[in-house]
Parts: sequence; structure tokens; C-alpha cells
Amino acid sequence: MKLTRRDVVKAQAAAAAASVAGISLPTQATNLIASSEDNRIQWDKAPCRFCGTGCSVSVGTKKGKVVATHGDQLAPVNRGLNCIKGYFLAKILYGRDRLTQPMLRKRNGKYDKNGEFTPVSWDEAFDIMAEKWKATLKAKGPDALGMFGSGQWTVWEGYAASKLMKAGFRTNNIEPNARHCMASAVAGFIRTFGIDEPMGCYDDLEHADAFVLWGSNMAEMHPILWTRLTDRRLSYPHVKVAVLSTFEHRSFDLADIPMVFKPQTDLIIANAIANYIIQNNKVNTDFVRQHVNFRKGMTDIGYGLRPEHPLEQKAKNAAKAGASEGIDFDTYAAYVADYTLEYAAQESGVPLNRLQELAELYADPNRKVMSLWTMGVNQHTRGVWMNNLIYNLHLLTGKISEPGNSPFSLTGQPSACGTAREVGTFAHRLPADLVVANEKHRRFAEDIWRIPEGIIPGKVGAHAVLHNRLLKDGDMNCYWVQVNNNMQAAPNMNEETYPGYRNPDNFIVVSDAYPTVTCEAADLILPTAMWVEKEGAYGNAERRTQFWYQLTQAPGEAKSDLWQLMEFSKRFLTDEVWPQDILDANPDYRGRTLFDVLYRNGNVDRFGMDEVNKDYGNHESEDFGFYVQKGLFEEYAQFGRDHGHDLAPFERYHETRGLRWPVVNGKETQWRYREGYDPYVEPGRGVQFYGKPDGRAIIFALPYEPPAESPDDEYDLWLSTGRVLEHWHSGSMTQRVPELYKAVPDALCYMHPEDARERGLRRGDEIKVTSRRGEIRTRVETRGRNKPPKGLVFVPWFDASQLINKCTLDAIDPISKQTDFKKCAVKIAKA
Amino acid sequence: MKKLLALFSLLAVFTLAAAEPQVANLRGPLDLTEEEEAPRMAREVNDDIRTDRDYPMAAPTIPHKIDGYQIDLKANKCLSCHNRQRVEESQAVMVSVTHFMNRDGNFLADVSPNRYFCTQCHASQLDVDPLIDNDFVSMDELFDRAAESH
Amino acid sequence: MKNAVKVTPRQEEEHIVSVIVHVLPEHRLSVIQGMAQLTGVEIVADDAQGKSVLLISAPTAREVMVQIEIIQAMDGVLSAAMIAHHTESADSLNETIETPEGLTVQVAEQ
Repeated sequence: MKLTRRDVVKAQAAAAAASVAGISLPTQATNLIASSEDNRIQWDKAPCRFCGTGCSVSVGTKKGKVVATHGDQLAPVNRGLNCIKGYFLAKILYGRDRLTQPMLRKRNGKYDKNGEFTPVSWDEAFDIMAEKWKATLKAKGPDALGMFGSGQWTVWEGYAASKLMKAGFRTNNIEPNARHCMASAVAGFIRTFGIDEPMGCYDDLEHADAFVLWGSNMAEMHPILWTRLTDRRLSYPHVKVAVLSTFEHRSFDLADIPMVFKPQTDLIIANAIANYIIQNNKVNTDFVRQHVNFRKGMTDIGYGLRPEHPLEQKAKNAAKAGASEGIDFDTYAAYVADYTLEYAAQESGVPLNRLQELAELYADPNRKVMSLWTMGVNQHTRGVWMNNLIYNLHLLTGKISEPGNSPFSLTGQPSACGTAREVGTFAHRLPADLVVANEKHRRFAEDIWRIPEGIIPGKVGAHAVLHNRLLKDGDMNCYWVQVNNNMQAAPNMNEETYPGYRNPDNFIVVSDAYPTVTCEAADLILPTAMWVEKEGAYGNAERRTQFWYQLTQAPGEAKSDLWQLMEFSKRFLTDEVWPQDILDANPDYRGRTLFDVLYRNGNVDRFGMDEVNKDYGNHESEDFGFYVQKGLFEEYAQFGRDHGHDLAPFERYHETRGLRWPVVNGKETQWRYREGYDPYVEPGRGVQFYGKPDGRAIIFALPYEPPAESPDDEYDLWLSTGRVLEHWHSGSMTQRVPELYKAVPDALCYMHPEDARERGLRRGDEIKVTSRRGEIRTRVETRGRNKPPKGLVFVPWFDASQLINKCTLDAIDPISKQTDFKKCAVKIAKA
Repeated sequence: MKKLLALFSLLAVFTLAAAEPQVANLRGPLDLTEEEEAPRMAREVNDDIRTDRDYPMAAPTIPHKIDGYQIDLKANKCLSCHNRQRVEESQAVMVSVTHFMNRDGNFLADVSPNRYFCTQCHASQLDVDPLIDNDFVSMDELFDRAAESH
Repeated sequence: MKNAVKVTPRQEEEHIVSVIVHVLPEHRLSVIQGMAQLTGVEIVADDAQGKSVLLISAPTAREVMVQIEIIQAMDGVLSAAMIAHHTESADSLNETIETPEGLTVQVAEQ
């Protein structure tokens, strides 16, 4: 039998269209190239593995392998498009050095902190882990344990991890790397609205008349949302795009109002716009009178450095950084009165006429405005303030919670919202915006989890940056890192990250699909199933929860993070980890494993194997004997139903391209807080910010305060770090895709040609980038995609061989505890 | 994996550098606390040879230099050769006809605005070898293998 | 022109595009008949709701687009959405592949 390539190509093209159309090809056509079932390409949906946009992709599998991916035509987010990373998704599973078995540092057949990584069985891996965990619990108690996950955990993985740490081991020392990413956005939402996550959705992109990018480079970091924004701008000539950044980048290519500002002066610009709105009588007084309160925030709050640091010694209010007091409109107006556009122009370096154009976008009542931001605003020692200040502009003008009027916080990770924030895998959180410090919230969680009262500790755990300090200081001794590469990602690697991992008192476990730099600093490496090698759920930036099935098997002995957590929990008896008095009062809980009390609790094990879809594998459920994902999800969903965070029934998400919560009576919610769109708004209220008891959002009076470190005579340049389009975060997946690697193989130092010339440097020269904390060697780029102004350099952090976080400073926002990766001082010299 | 590890431990013997076992392959044999010479900036591949795509809807890479190309509100250098009105003259490959369809599935006379920024999906390639091989198998290859096994 | 794209000698090319056509159900039969008469158009599948999957093959993209424009202009056609687009030289598309035993091919012979 002969076939031509044409036949094969036609068959593939036809199959792709048929899968999109949702019609099956007639037998004759399905037999285009193959008659046997196992030769057929099976198409399924899955959300993309990378950013917080949450595109849906069609995944083609054949003979157990992922052979193709393309943009899902049926997905409202991306309608068939992918960015360059998305087009090569299929390849992230197949880097040759996938980890396939646990590896423990050993010498002479025994664990040794300085031993060689040696393959071991899962049993041996869990044995040594349990031994270390138990010894630490005995010697120091639960707060010497820690876990660091991420917004790349699936919803149920984050949920299971949170239960294991908070209820199992009784410590709140669990953090996601979303602390490095979205913590300022979260605190901004909670302070202004009392409830996390955006009120609007991506549909705002098709409705706005103006877009303002606050320190965001959407063109590279949220490419598919950028295609939608570009579509709007190019199709409707009245639409304006304003781009604010500390350096020129690809998003400037679409800018009508391009603005490069001096680092940290975004605080001044935002206040100046608010003042402009007030001075020009453009305040929406009805809206403000009915829906807004005013408060003045605490100032001089420090930089979250170690307490002995001079800056912390000097800060008066570091201990009460989040405090505020009520004021009225007039007091607020007087507070911002000094922030004139002229002053903002002088301090920021942005020409006055551009600031005027920008302010007018917000002030003009006939222009719908969408503000967009991510790391420029969030990774900021005053990141919470910046979030609050942007909301101020939308609240003053009433431009919020309706199509096109939308302050929109973009997210970095695929499930920063769905897992880290909604499940609450932070040191202070529980699911659905509940917090551990609130006793009622703890009781509510203990009730749903079916565990005795008093098990969940009320003490807020250590935040991400503090984890590294505690590890270094030897106060935290057992540490488990899952789905992230924090050795590469965390700030001040030399002084604060590396010493803690290699501290002889500590035992560090890292679960990953690939041998990252974090793996290299670990003592035990656990091989991990990724993406479609497990059944999963992610929640994107517009509150859209999306599911996928396990479509292929992980290589070797690799298992999902979920399997690892649950399997590990079998090694502990309640008697070893829970207090005697609670067990005395609840004797039924004695002698049971943490697996029994956390996951075999009558909720999580409620759905049998008969409910698992037989067309797909499910390695966790097959091992544990019940439908693990459904049980975890339905238990978790109890937290949010009827509390403004309603999720649909489990099955529904396998059928749809995601739904935006709250899902009430089967319907998703596009715009929250506005009557007619949001079922939680009481009839007749019009707008109700129901996260606050009186339904009013808060406008905050907050000033400019300087950054933690600024250039001086010796360290004379600003360093900003960030991502590039072709690589995802630390590059552990995308650097293993040949096309993406060849597009951008190495990090470079982007700098102004005059800064280079003054230092005797030319494009391509090797240089040392040096801060007070460390240095890297890299090459000069003076004409690439990023064009910094004089005095600032940009170095991306995806490159494992050029670890730029050796240079960054671990200064954080004292309210959100999120690191400022965008501002520190460096010097540059020829290597 | 084992081969790589073996290779790296061999290198470690020669450099006498590594006190720590090396597994972070993207760094090669370098200890986490060390810095080595940064790789030289490589040239952009400029041979105009179109490469095979692994699956029908993968975005093709760009087989020529795009250094300094303007793609902004004023001009799109890529489309000045690749748009359908220009290919006759430029003899360049025309953009895929899928690019004439907008978000709502309507067919437009020109490239859809949501496809305007070409570099969001298409990148030129530098003349470097991948650090880590990738074992992805395309459907064509799977098919060929199936044929061979018979 | 600086950085101009180098001219690659033209080979005989072939464009293969798959398209989903949505038709008002009452126009389904007439549209199917109309499409079947177009050069290079194969109807691979269609359903009662008025959705059909087509393959269009042509030597140039322009000809593909002309066919789609004709289809879009037909009475009752709601949309014609392209899904996949493949371009390759006709020579290489004509290369034969050994087929495993038991596999059958029933394409493009209508």
C-alpha cells in the first residue's frame, strides 16, 4: 500500500478541523491514513503550561506521546492563537534529561549532605524524608518545617499541600512562589476591595477606548492578550495605548503615549493623575459618594530587610506597615494637591505633555479605560501602594466593573489565581480568602476538613523571603520545594538563598521534572510528572477555572506532586504530629495516618474509581483507589460556594473551556460588583463592593517613598530584571525546546549605547555586572528589543548559566512581602 | 541522563572545580557559586532555508535575519515582503491564509490586526546548538517508525 | 533595501488548507453542491447542523483565498473558518511513504 506525503498532510489538516468543529469524520475519512485505533491522533483540550493568560490548547496524542499542540479554536481566551512558546508546548515534555527516578546525595551507601546524587527507590526517598521530618518535629516543632510551591501547582495539588502543612504538620510555613509575583496585587485587592482578584475580565480588551500599561510589557509577557489589545487598537483608530515603563520595550511599538520614567516615580505619576482628575472637576461625585470611603495609609514602613539592616532600624512604622486611618474626600484632595503634573514630570523625567495626555485618558468621562499591570507594579517595595493608587484612579472616575472600564491585574503564572490565591497556599491564607489569623475562619476550615478543633495553627507562617533567611540561620531545617526553581528565582542568591540550602543542618527536597539549579542545591530530588502527565486544573487571571485530563504517562518513575504529597502523608501518625490534648479530646483520631485524616476523611475519598473517565489515565487515583482530583476539588469548592467564590460542579469543567467564578446557577460572572452582571450584588444597589462590610471600596492616600537602594557613585546603574517572550520563567522547560533555545539562547545585558561607550564597551563585549551582593558575567546588547535609558540596565533571569539573582536585593514590600526585582544598584565593567 | 552525568563528572575531574555534584545541565559543569565566560553572541541564521515544521499548526521559525526590523504603529517590515500584495514582487513566502481570519472567524481582505506583531509567534534562530537534546517525536516520524516495524 | 529578504527560487508549490464552513441548515444542500463544484475543494465531512469540513488545495495561497471568498459569498453561509494551512513543494508532497500492512488509504480519490 502506497501513500503520499500529500495524503498524510491532508489527513492531519482534516482531522484538526474536524476536532475543532466537533464533528467526527466519517469512517472513510478517519481511515485517511490509518485503519487501526492506535494510529489515530487523539485531540484533547488543556490550558497552556506557561503564563497566567490561560490560553487553551488542543493537544494531539498518538501512541501515548504528545505529537502536536495548537491553539484551541473553541477557547474564548485565545480563539485558536498561541504565542511562540505555546506553539512548541508539545516539546517541553521531551527534554532528554527528564528526571526519571529519585536521587539522594549519598556517600558510602548512606545519605550525606556532600555526597553524590545517587538513584534511590521512592521508598528509600520517603524513608529518609520522614526520618528528617520526624527528627526536626521532635527537636524543634512544626515551625522548623517549610514548603515552597507555586502558582504552577494544579488546584488540587496546592489544596492537598496546604492541608498537609496546615492541618497535618500544623505549621503555616507554606508559601507559593506567587509571593514573588502576585502578593502585592493580592494585598492591593484586599485593602481596596476586601476580596481578591479582578472585577473585570479579558472581554474588557474588546471594549476599552484606552489602555494604560503600568510597568507591564504585555507584548512579551502576555502575548495573546496583547494580540487582543492590538486588534482593538488597530481596528478602532480612536483607541489610545499608553505605555509606562522604566525602559523601552516591545510594548512601546504600539504606544500612542510612550513614557519612560525614573524607577519608583510611578508613585508620583499615579498621585498626579488623581490630583489632575480632582483639579479639573472630573471626579464622578455620585459614584464616589455612594461607593467609596477614603483612608490614609501608614508611611515610613521600611523595606522588609533583616531587622538589623540600617534601613529597617531607621523605619518608624515597619511593624504596622499595613495600618491606615479613615479620612474624608477633602483631606484626600489636599493630600494629593502637591502632586501636580509639573512636579511629576520633573521627578519622573516623562515630558509634561505626555503626562497630560495620560491623565486625560482617565479624566475624560467618555473614554473607557483599562489599566493593566504585572511585575513592574507588584515587584516593587511599594507594590501594594501602587496597586491601591491605580484603583484610586478608577474609583475617582467610577470607571470600574463594567465592560471596558477595568483596572486589571495580570498574573504571571498559569494558576497564580486558581491555586496560590484561591486555594490560599500562602503562610497567612486558607481557601476562598479566609485567613489563619481569624479563629472563625480556622474553625470553618477544620469543619470542612473534618479535623478536630484547634488543629490549624493561628500563627501566620514565614513568607517566602523569610523562608530563605530561616534556612540560612538554621531555624528552618526541613524544606520541600515543588514546581518551581527558587534557587534561580529568589533574590540575593549568594547571601540568602544558597547558604540556606547548603546549610549542613538542613535537609532540602526538590520535586521537579528537570534537573534545575534548585535541584543541584538540594539533598533529595524527586522526579515529577508535569502538565498533561496528570489530571489537572488551573485558574487564570480572569477568574477562569480550566481542567484537563491526563493525556500521557510521565517517564520512568516520575509521579505528580499530588501523588508525592499524599504518599508522603502515609508515613506519619497523628500521634507523632498532633498535640496530646487535642488527641485526648478526640480519641477517634488516634493511631491514624495523616493520609487517613486528611485524604481518607469521607470527603476526599467520596468518589470511586467508577467515576474516573475510562478514556484517560489517572495515575494518582489508580494508586490510591478513589477519584482523588474530584474528591479534593469538591471538598475545596465547599469553601467558596455561597461565599462569592462559587465554583461549578467538577464535571462541568471537563466539558467547557473554563468558567469564570463566581459560577451561580450554572452561569459564570464576567463583571463583579455591578448589578446585572454579578448575582451577588443586592437588587437596587447598582454597584456594591461586597468584599467590604459597607459595600464601599477604599481610595488610599499614599505618598512617594524612595526605593531601598538607588545608584550612587560606585554602583552607578539601576538593574531591572525580568522575562523574555521565548522563555518561561527560569527556562527549565523552554530552554529544552530547540526552537526557543535557538531564538534566545543566553541572557544579555541590555544597556544604552552611551552607557556602554562611557565604559569602553561595545555590543557583544563580555562584562561583569556587579552589585554589593554578587556578580555575573554576561554580554552587552545595545540594540536589542529592550532599549533602556541612560543609567539603567536590564538583564533577564531565565538563564541558568547567568544567575542574575546573585545581584538582586532581598528588599520587599513590607505589606505584601513581595520582592522588588526591578530596582537595585550595580556597576558594570569589562570582564 | 546518566551519560550526561558521567560526562560532567569526567569534566569535573579535569577542572578540579566541583565540590558539589553537578546536575543542573543548563549550567554545564559549573558550580552554582561560580561564573564562567559568557557565551559569545551568535549570528542569526540567514540561509533562507525553510525548516520542516513538526506539526501542521506550529508557527514556522524565520530563516533569515530580522535584526533591526521595524514592526510598530507606523510600519511592519515583515509584511512589506510577506503580505499577499507584496509576494509577487518580493518572491517571499506569503503569510498563512489563516492570518486573514480575525478573532470572530471573519475573513478579512488584509492580515487580521490580531496577527500584526509577527514576532509574537515567529522568531529567527541563532547559529547555536541546543544545550539539551529534545526527544519529541513528530507524527510523521511516528508514522515512519510504524511503517518500518512492518 | 537593507535586510531585504533574499529571493528563493520558486518551486511548484501546493497549499493545503482545512476549513470549517457553517451554513444555515435550510441552505445546507445547495451550499454543499456549490462547494463540490469548486476546483480543488473536497468536502471531507458534514453534519445536520450545517457544519462541514473542507480541504482546499491550490498552487497559490491567492487561489485558496479566492475559493474561500466564493464560499463565503454563497447564500446561507454564515462563516468559513480556516483551521490548518500547510505549504510544501508539490514534488515533496508527491513522495511516497511505505504504508504499514493493514492500513488503508481512502483520501483524495473522490
